[in-house]
Amino acid sequence: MSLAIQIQDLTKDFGALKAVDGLSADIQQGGIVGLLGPNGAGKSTTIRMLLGLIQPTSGTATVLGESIDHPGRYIEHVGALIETPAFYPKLSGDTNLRTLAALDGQSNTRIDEVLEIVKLESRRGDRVSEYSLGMKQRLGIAASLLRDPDILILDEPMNGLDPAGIVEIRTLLKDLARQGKTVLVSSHLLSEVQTVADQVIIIDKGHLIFQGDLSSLLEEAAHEVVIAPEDLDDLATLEGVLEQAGYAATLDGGEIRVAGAVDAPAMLNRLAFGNNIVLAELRVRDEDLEAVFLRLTDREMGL
Amino acid sequence: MIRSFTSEWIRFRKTARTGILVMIGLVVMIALMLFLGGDSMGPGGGGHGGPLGGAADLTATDGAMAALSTAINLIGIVSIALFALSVARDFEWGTIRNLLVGQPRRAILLSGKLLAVSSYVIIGVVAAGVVAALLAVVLAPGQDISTESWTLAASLGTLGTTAMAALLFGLVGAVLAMLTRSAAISITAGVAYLLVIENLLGLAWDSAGEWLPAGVFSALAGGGTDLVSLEKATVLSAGYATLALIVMYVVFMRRDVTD
Repeated sequence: MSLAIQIQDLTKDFGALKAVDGLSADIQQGGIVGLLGPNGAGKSTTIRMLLGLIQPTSGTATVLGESIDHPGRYIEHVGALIETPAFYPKLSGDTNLRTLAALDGQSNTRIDEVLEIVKLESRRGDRVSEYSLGMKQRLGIAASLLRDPDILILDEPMNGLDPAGIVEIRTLLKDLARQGKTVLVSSHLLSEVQTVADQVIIIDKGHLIFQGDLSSLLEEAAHEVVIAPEDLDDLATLEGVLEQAGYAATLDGGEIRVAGAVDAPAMLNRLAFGNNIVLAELRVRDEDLEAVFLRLTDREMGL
Repeated sequence: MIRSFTSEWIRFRKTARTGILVMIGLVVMIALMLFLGGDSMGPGGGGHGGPLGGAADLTATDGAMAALSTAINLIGIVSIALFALSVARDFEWGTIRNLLVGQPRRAILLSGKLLAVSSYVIIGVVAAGVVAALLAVVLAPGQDISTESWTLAASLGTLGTTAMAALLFGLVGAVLAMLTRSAAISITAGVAYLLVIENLLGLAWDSAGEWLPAGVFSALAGGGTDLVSLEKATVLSAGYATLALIVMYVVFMRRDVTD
């Protein structure tokens, strides 16, 4: 399968700030790829470089085999929504699309089609300043679809959408992928893309942290056994017993977390019982994808 | 470039319509002052005569266009505003991202935009010129102003030079907008220069009116003045226009779009 996008050692400095730092990644044609990373990770800067809006400081990238130094050679095959959708606020959604369609040489019939796809036909005549964020987001997606692109790059497309809207956009993305299009969706939340993405690219501080499919990401997940004694006075004793037996035990409130002991809950139980400690709780806990993502990007849950 | 032009033409229609109406309103006001205000406007021919420009000679061959050429600096302000709004708003609203994804060849995109705004400014000047001529024809007889020497060719010539001057003022607005990426700052700076700074420079430097942009553009609109001949005004205007375009294109071609 040929590459839709190839990024090689791409770097962008803004003064002393390295927004993207030696990023390399390959994106195959067809399917949905999630570009993930916390805010400020370099996702938007990377996307802007792919679209020719920003010149890289060093490194190279190609889109459909053409260098990003010449966006005019490939951009007609690319649709994009970049961060918060930007439109002329005093013009209607319809007129905004007409300005873009005119720039792109598209007919007004195509405007009808994309407005129908994003379910915005009934509000097409209203000023964009009267749109909710979710409606602007839909209009942005409609604009990105105007030229029926081979590659669709969507930067945080779920922002401002209600749950029903998110489901609709996910369905749309799946439909586009089924048509053989390549969809690159950036997000700072794994949960937004994990149900649709075939592959994920995780970046943080401008670096590539992970690239692969979601099952590969799950292999990075930590597994542990959580145990709690019936009598909390036994916590310290139990921790000592486990450590003596060679387990990595960590006291965490009223329970003890034992890393990597998912195959040995019976052994832990026997150890406790052998030291006259009755367990009130013993369970295996697997780290979920979101937690893996947050750990890889050095963020904590809830932040 | 036709696509860029059409796109900008569609999106700028409402703003341009307002600008055109303002140009017409200004010319009506100046015409009433010229024809009904007696000598209060002072004699013409001075070219750069302050905010209103030089009051033209009503009995000259292009007397029918006197209101238009006298109003050049005010029309210039409107032109500065239109060009500045066209260029800066896309940076302020972030719509420049959409435009560059639609047309990544930046020189073509910018050329289309400038041509679209230019076309609106020309429409505004022509509409204002037609209104100026109609008012002149109606008002001159009542004020015992001779219209015998008025010719269509001279009027069309003045219409043309005024349109050129308006576009040159607009280029100043466009350059400022490209540099500042702010419509408010670029319009304020342009108007302040036109109405205040160049006049202050004129106090410090006697020849300012012969060389500085506002004086030169006004002279071009008036078909030349005692200070600046039409030929000199044309050459200097071409120089200023070339400089403005070079600055604008170089900045736009090299700028990272992070807005």
